[in-house]
Amino acid sequence: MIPVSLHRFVVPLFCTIILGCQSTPSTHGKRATVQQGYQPALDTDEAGLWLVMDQAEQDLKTSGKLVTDVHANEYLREIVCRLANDICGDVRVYLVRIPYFNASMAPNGVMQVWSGLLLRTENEAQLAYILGHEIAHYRYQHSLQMFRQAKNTANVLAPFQIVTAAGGIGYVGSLAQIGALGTLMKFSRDHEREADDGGFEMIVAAGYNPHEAARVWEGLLQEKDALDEDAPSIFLSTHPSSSDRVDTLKQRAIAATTPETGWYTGMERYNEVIDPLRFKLMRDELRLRQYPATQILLDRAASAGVRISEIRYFQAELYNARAEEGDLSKAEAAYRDCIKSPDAPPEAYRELATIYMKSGRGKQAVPLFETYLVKKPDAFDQSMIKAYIQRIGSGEN
Amino acid sequence: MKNIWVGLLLLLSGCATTFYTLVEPGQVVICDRYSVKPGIQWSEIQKGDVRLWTVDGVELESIRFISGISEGVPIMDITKEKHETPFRPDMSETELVDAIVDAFSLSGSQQVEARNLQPARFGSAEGFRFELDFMDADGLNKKGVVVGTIMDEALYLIIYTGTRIHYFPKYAREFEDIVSSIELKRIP
Amino acid sequence: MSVINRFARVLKVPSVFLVAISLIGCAQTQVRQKAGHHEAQQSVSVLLMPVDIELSVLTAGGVSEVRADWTAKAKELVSASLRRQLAQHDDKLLEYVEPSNPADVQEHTQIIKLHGLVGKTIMVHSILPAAVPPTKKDSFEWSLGEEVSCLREASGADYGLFVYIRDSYATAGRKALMVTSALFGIGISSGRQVGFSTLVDLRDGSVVWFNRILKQSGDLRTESAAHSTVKELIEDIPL
Repeated sequence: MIPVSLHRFVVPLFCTIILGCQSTPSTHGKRATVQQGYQPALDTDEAGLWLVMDQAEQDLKTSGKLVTDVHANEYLREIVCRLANDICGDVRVYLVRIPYFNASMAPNGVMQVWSGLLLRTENEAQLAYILGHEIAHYRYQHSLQMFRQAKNTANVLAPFQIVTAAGGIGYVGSLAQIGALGTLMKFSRDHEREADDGGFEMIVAAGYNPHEAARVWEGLLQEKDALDEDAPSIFLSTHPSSSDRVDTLKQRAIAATTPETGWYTGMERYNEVIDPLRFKLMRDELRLRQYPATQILLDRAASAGVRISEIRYFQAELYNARAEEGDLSKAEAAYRDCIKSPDAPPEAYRELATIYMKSGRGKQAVPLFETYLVKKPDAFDQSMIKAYIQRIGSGEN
Repeated sequence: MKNIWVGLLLLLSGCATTFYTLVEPGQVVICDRYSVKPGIQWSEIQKGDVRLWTVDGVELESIRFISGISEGVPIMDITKEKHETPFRPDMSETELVDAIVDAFSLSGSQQVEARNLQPARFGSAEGFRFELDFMDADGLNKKGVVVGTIMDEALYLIIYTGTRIHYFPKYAREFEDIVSSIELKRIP
Repeated sequence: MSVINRFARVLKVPSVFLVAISLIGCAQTQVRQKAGHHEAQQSVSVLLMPVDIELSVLTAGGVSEVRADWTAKAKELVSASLRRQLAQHDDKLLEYVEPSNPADVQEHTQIIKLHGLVGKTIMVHSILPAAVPPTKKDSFEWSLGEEVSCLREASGADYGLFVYIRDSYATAGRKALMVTSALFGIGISSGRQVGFSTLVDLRDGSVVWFNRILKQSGDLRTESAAHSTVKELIEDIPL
């Protein structure tokens, strides 16, 4: 499905490919770049590396860790192809169900995007920046460079193995089991700078709003500050940055020439694709019990075009999960606010009704339960809800 | 120290010892509140409030009887470090489903989905049941059925899980028969 | 959580002692055969399933990291050795072909994963007799499910041969005895292999033959170790 705003991309792409014009100057000289359809020669060490990486890809596919939502996967592939251009077919992107912000690129073109990332990028431009950054790692063969450097060491795959210093995260162990190579490797600062540049160029060439690039990092840093010192930020530790990263990106955004049709931010399209996933993703997020960080996520969601009813619903869910003193009444208030919107999630009605039912306000609960059933005809708990309605009706509550 | 020698003695004394006890078909008292009537032999391990039944091995299939979980106690007691939701007697069935799905996820199961929550009899008491689809840590598909009730402010659960291929279907009928055979000792 | 750990806690014994003790005890048959299965009179066709191997290193941090390069090498050597050594039998060996349909790939993978779990269960039972459920004591009845018929349809084979190996190496500085989850809480010294092979009747999924590795064979990345491991794995295979 082609987005309506595709025409915004055609002009800048035309510009870049045919006329060779670039909106931003390259800050480095000649970079090694990978060719379309690149495969290492069979008898090289690198071929062995790819073999291993290909097997890791197979393991990932059958690991049970993937998010299989068709729209979300297609959306990611579409953005990747738009950015990667000629090497579009060589990059495979997988959406992995892990509730942390992370994206990675393996030497053989396998990109992973973790589900926690989709809760934190606010629009298509921000998502595109991260994807572009990872594609740049592949295009400029950073992994290959790391491999060649490590070739004479005892463990050539050491750079690609799980960074166990990132321990303290339960998922590290299970990632190690499936040999998810290249997931938590650490690129050098030079690589990072190059990937920032490359990613930036890609999004500008594709017409995405470059001001969004700096905002991704800002959001990550803000969330990191809200957490304990011990809790690592996976993405930040695997993508080390210089202190001027945010400023550099901001400067470059200002210097970039705005196309006639304006920049594309893609907030609506982004929310349209991510909305159906949000429930699952927020459940995973709340399960982490990192409420201060989740609160920041919710606060930022408000300015990111997420529907106010959804934000209120997840706010209520946060209070419910946290269950500190006073949280129950806060949850009740948040659900009540939520259902003021006509597009409130059906679950909000059920949750508020449950609170009423448990606190002796059964009469108020019934119409809310009924609304839930009408709005969600395929609800997994519909039999139970009908039973509640009956119980209240027969005076048990 | 003494226990090591006891263990050694037990094991050397004929290799006939097992840490399981054999449950024969017929009336079996599960806890002070109810009994069931299995139709086949089961092997049982018991620890505290939990009784675990299996025929082939607990990872292949198992029935877990969790009895008398009172307020503040984590429902499945997976591990003390993980923040499991503690049981509250005023929990709705949907909240119980959430807590159990959470407990499964925290213990390493992946992609845990609950289906088909409905009221159900627990013997002569009112209870609930729902189904589970999930994968173990290696990505092997598993299925589950949970049956439960709250009696006198305490939670009683019977959780049947098994591999989607072969083992879950193999004893599904027997599990349903066991659930149908629940006999409460005191009417709540 | 592993059954053996649980038992160890009940007895207040370090799990490692439990294994040591049990090995002093009764000898367990290494080769299990389904009651009533006879060695094939005429030649049968056997589908060589992709070998399920993982070689890993136990880091100082206690995380077991799969070493993908070691694993790839070991898979290559073991598969080649398997083909060579099986060729001596009279039966038709069929190579596994990955289906083009992703749903079929997933299903085959599920069967292979189930094999790992069933095989590990059989292994635990054979290592630690106390861990055998009484309901399993007198019978050898295991199955990978009727779903294996999709393998038979795709290949035409009568039987499937499955191989599972996990080999874990401790880095220097680890204590000699450790517990790893992949080896269900049994204390091991470095370099110990866990491995088994299974013959499955592709008509109904039943396991007709099971064999496990008893002794260490060394580094599976070398041809000699791969050769002796495979030799031990398929010893007395009823083909």
